[in-house]
Amino acid sequence: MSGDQEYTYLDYLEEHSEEPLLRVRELKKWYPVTENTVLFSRVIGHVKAVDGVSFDIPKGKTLGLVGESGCGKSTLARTIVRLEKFQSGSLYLEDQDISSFSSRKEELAFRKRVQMVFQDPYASLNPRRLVLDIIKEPLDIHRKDLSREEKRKMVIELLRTVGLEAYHALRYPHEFSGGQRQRIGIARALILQPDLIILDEPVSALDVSVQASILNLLQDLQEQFGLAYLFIAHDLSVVKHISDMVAIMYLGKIMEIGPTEEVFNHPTHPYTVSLLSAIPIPDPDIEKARIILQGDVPSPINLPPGCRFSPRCYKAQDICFKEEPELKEVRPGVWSACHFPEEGFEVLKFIGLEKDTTKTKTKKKAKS
Amino acid sequence: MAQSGKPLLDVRNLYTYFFTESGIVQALDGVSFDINVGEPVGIVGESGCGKSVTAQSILQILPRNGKIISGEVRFKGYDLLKFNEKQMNKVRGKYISMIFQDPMTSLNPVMRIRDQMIDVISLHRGVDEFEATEIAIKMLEAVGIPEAESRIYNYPHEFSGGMRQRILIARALALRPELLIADEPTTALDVTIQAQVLDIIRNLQQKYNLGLMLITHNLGVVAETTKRVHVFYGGRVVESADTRTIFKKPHHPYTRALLESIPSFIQQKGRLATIPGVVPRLINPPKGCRFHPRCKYATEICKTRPPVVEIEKGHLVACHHYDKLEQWENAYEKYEKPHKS
Ligand SMILES: Nc1ncnc2c1ncn2[C@@H]1O[C@H](COP(=O)(O)OP(=O)(O)OP(=O)(O)O)[C@@H](O)[C@H]1O
Ligand SMILES: Nc1ncnc2c1ncn2[C@@H]1O[C@H](COP(=O)(O)OP(=O)(O)O)[C@@H](O)[C@H]1O
Ligand code: SF4
Ligand code: SF4
Ligand SMILES: [Mg+2]
Ligand SMILES: [Mg+2]
Repeated sequence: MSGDQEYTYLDYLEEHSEEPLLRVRELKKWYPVTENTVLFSRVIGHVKAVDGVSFDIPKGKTLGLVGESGCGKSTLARTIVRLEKFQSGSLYLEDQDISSFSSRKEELAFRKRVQMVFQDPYASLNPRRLVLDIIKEPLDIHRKDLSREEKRKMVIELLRTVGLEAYHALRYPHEFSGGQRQRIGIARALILQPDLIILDEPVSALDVSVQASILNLLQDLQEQFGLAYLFIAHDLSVVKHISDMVAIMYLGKIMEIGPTEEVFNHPTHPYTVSLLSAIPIPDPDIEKARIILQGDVPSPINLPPGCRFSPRCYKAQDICFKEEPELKEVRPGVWSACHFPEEGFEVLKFIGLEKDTTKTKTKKKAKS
Repeated sequence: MAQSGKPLLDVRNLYTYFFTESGIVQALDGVSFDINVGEPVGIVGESGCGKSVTAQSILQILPRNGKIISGEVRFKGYDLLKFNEKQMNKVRGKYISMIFQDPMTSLNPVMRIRDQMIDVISLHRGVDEFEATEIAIKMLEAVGIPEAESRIYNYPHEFSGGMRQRILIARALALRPELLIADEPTTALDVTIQAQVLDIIRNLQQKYNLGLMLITHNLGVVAETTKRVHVFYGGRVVESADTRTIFKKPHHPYTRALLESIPSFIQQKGRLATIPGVVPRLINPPKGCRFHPRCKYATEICKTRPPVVEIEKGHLVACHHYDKLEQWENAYEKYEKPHKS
């Protein structure tokens, strides 16, 4: 298992990536955990929020990032947009090394190209500013060459692009619904014509009928402007709907990554299988087989030895508790960090969505 | 109402208003629905449609600015709205339990789990402290808390979100209620934890033949957990039917639109169907059918309140055009859909 010459995911990325816009390599972001005594505080451990993550996002494509609460999705997002420092690894936007900036100019050039949209449309907009000023703000920083009138024009045009009206520019955020506020956030992210938008749970706070219109909007904008997205969500149906590629994250690490259809229809990692079997399906005729994960996500401070999923895994064997599996190619393009990956697993059959003669109605329970 | 089974809870024409500085919020505007003995029922709808207010009205735990204007809340035949506070306390403790979306807000952070459980148990089940502790431990075991015997002495923060929700289920069910109201019990949880909690709710519902009022906006959760569904919109029930009918043969235009707007895990949809406009504010709600500003079938008559019609046994629909929708929908499929994509 530990041959030095093994073909790794990093090798694969170097060989296969076509036009990578963003390259993330072995990224680690750890937070120190401190114990405070009367006199001083000392570091007693680390939260390994992002623990060695690598992937590419090609131009104009969407990478979906999925995982349970606390697994490091937002930390990864904040690190990529350089709101957080990180310990090790590297980050490239095309040829620009974005792990550190040698000048303010370089940093501005980066910020222009990568934007972020947050989950909570209520909290992420300044309540005391007009929508016009909120959307215009990035222009004030990055486009000092434009006149007031030109900026105004751009804002109005963008409002229409995201499905709002010109007169909305002169209103305050509280006068809008959640979905409309998310549109304002998207307009703001678009105004500098970025290449990449990081969307951290952009529809999680919205009603389903509103969520649908935002998802449609994001797809339209991608087509229109050739945008790339890193789309973070916990709703697997939403991720499946919108992503070209998907990465499944668990406790700071990618467990499985590959083309969306491949990973969601034929998952190889037991964690992916467990996640997929937990989705409630809106069809009462389906008597689902389920793998109900026992236990909770362990604390990222005290990671279990070996495979970090082993305490909850239905397939764990002795080696899983000792040796940490690295990403290995299970099928062309599908990489999985597991000693015993599933092969030929059919999600639709398993959860009873496809007529199957061997349809199981038994509930498989993972042992704890 | 033609329903098989005995109604455990029967809510009739419930009107609940909130009196606020910006005006009167007509949160419930003539809500009627029922839940039979031992029946798991789903209440679905988007945010602000009155789901939580309905639960609060049933238990009479409305915030101070809220008031039940009229209607009936019949529980086992008794009209709870005629009960005094003492009687209601007994109902809340013994017959109807409730769990909420955020488990942390319903637990006292500075009290051990044991102390938060046994008071109610000994009071309502008439047992001593020792026996109450035993019952509490049994319930914690039933909801899958490992090492319940020792962990009952822990504080809430020593448990994860999913475990806290299970503790609340244990507490709610320790009193052997006949009706459990669960208001978005898994909305704050991850899918894998949601699956655990729903599994527990389903098992206990069957084991104790519990009436379940499961409030959620997640249609998947409803499909998997309930036998009958009431769809809320703008403070009213717009459609009621058994769960299968709601998903396979939805009739009300809102129910249909709602189902079409969710991304499917099964078939890839190119573009999602959307519902134009937004969920109505209930201070100045639309006149007549509250869905009419967003409804593609709306006509002039829709500005008056639609009657509730039983289109098939047990299938109730509040829509003026209930008898023409099928025809219109077919026409729409034929002539409009192909141009859309
Ligand atoms: N500033 C910080 N200091 C210490 N620990 C942190 C900090 N920010 C995040 N963490 C920890 O890092 C881990 C990953 O957090 P993160 O917010 O990235 O999770 P997430 O995947 O976005 O979760 P969610 O789905 O709940 O948004 C968690 O254990 C979290 O508690
Ligand atoms: N304390 C309150 N004061 C004023 N209005 C309220 C209050 N609680 C709820 N409402 C209003 O009542 C309506 C229904 O709310 P609610 O039942 O909480 O919705 P949901 O279906 O999301 O649970 C909404 O319009 C909401 O704004
Ligand atoms: S390595 Fe072992 S414990 Fe980890 S996911 Fe694979 S089978 Fe499960
Ligand atoms: S009553 Fe009219 S507006 Fe309301 S749902 Fe029926 S057709 Fe649509
Ligand atoms: Mg997050
Ligand atoms: Mg609510």
